[in-house]
Amino acid sequence: MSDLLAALVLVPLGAAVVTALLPARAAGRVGLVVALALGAGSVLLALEVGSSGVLEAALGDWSIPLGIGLRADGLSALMVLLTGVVGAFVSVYASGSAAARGGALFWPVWLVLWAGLNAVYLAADLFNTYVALELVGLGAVGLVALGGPAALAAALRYLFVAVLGSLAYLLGVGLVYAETATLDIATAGQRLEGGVVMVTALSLMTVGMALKTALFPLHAWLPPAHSGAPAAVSPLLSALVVKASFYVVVRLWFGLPGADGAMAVATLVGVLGAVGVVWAAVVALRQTHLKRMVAYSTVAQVGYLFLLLPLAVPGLAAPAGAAEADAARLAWSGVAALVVAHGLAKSAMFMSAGTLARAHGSDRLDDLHGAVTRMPAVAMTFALSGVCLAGLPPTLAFVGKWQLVQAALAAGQWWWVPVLLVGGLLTFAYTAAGLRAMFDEPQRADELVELRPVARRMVVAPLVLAVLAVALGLRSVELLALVEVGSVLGSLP
Amino acid sequence: MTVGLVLDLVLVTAVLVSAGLALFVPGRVASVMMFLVFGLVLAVVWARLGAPDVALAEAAIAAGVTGALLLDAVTERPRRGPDRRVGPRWLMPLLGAVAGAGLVVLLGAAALQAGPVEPGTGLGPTVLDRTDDSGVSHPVTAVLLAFRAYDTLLEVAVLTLAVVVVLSLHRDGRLETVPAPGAASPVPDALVRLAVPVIVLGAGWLLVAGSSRPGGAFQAGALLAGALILLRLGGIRLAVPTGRWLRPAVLVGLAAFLTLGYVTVALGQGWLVLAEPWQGTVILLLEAVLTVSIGACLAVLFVAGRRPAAGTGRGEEP
Repeated sequence: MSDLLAALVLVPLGAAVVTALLPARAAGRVGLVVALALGAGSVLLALEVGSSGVLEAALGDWSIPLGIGLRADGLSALMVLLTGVVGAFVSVYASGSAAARGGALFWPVWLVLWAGLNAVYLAADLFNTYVALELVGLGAVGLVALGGPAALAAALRYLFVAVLGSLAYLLGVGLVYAETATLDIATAGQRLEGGVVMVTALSLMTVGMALKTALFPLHAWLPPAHSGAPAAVSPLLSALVVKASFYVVVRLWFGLPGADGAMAVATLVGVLGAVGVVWAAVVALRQTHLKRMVAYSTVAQVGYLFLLLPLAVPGLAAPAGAAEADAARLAWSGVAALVVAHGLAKSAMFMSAGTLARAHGSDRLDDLHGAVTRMPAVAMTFALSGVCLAGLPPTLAFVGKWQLVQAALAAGQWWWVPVLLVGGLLTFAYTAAGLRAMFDEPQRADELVELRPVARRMVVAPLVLAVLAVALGLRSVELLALVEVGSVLGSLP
Repeated sequence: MTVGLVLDLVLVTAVLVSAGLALFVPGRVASVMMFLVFGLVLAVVWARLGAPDVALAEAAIAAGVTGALLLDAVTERPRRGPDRRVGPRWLMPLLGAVAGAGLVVLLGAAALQAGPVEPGTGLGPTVLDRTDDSGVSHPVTAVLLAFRAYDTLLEVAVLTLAVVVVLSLHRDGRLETVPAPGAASPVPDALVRLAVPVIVLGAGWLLVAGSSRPGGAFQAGALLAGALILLRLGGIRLAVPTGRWLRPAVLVGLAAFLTLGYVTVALGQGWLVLAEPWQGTVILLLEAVLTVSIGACLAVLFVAGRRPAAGTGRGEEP
């Protein structure tokens, strides 16, 4: 079964080569079949890790630390699963229209990106993570560039950001290697003892990853890139790509020991996340274009995820009390729930926005009048995913936010609670602003633009994902049990 | 003061001065020239530090190929209008200076404290111990194609992906519409005739030598790319594939590497597990395919950076 780990990376890479060589029609068919197979493979991995625990493999049979290890614990399996499910649905959506893909080379670039995402989640090695991040970054930039001449400037800016973030990470890796003489994350964690080097390395790597995750105020590149990309690309970027760099932050903070200065850095990161939650939501409210609004929403939602650091770091410090450990555990599973909820809901929201823009010929809010009667299923998808993002019960995001609130109270950091509440209200507000434009009936019938036909799968795929984001709230116990597998928090008091 | 110390001081000064000049010299061409100089000095620094493999890669790829791409970019394209400026004139330089100084202090403090790892505890001795098991006798090649072959595979994927992305900016993902220099070639015929065989010979040497001494697919591929570009500039259009053979040439390296992985797993050995007695031969063959593919990738990147003939492509700037 441990052969499955490398297969989840090397199969999509091989499929990318094949789709790059085939003519467009055949490439589309192969791409879709491989996407569905990868979705199934990621479900298999999650079931396997859930039932029999952590999976490990050493590539080429070279023992660690000489060779490179792959490792799938519960968190890895959950991220691979999210990527597999969202990736499969977006692939179905993408097969519905050439315009949604942006170009014939969509399939090879997306499959390489998929391989890169899985490689990040399965890496047990600091340098291998860097190479995988390069695949993800370059793949994401390439997909944005498929948006045509108008998207090129945003793509180039995204490229600079992605490379800068990777270099900051690599500097940190250099410091860790100098200190520990190993690139294996687990071994490095055992050998490190904190101090100036550790705080510097952790800060550098966190800044680099925060840049790629678009943590406020390092987010300015995200809205033009995510909204300028083709319809099938935006959901991949917002739901999956920003999660990969956040995942690396989690791995680093939980895998390498904290030092004296760590709590200060964590608090700063948490404050920036909180400011981003409120600020980006307010900016989203003022947008005149639907896709830009959804893109700003991503900046806001990413802010929640970073609250994990200030809530969990006290529990990770050596003499942790029971309360701190409880807070760390609650924050861990709460943020995991939010990551999955945002992945499902945001991909559904971006896909529905893309379908609306495709049918109306524009994503300007004023052009979407009457959409609620003319495209009710799409409007409902948008509304449902907005409810999921805002975190109303019984959605999965509600479960996540509830646990974060409890974590904040357990850690004695009550000041994060209003941020969670206000952020939810603002999410409602901008979802409502988008819906209002769809409810508005124009004064005269001739103001209605003529709808272009869209493929049925471009309506159904996002709807299913949005329903899934609601329904998973009722089955969150199994999902959250998965992230406990192999977690460092298991050994806390 | 020994000769070595003087040399080190000169090198360190030269690196800093050329880096500073590359950033601040007026004029983009001069700036790129200084970047080239910077790359070459850095290559000497690597050689001086006892890392000839890194020195070769730095000279061939970081200075050579990157320099050629940059030079091509700044000479062919007109300068765009002034950048949008945020805030007052002094704000950005000040922020940059503060951030830079902060980074230098932080990194300096960390570098002084970090390691150095006690002799004998690093990965180096382990690599030297196990090199003989890998099928090649040069430790750097053993790391790149045996111990950490998975990293190298993903890096080949990164390069291939970069080329595919650049191709996606051209119509139909092909380069036939990019004009090649015709009769008015900028490169003298005699130079092409003389240089290309020498470069190809050098590339072959680097490739074969890589199993026992410094060299390898990346350095050889960079040299090969140089030869292909020279040929194209010399008027031989077919030197760099632009039509039907374009994608196979670009993808063959990644495809071969992946096939190796699929075969090893199909034989029940596990991903990328190479067994005696074939492993040395397999690695050399793989490196040969990679050299061709890397050479094609880099040459295609150079060609694809040029504008397609007017009105034929998507390559126009926004």
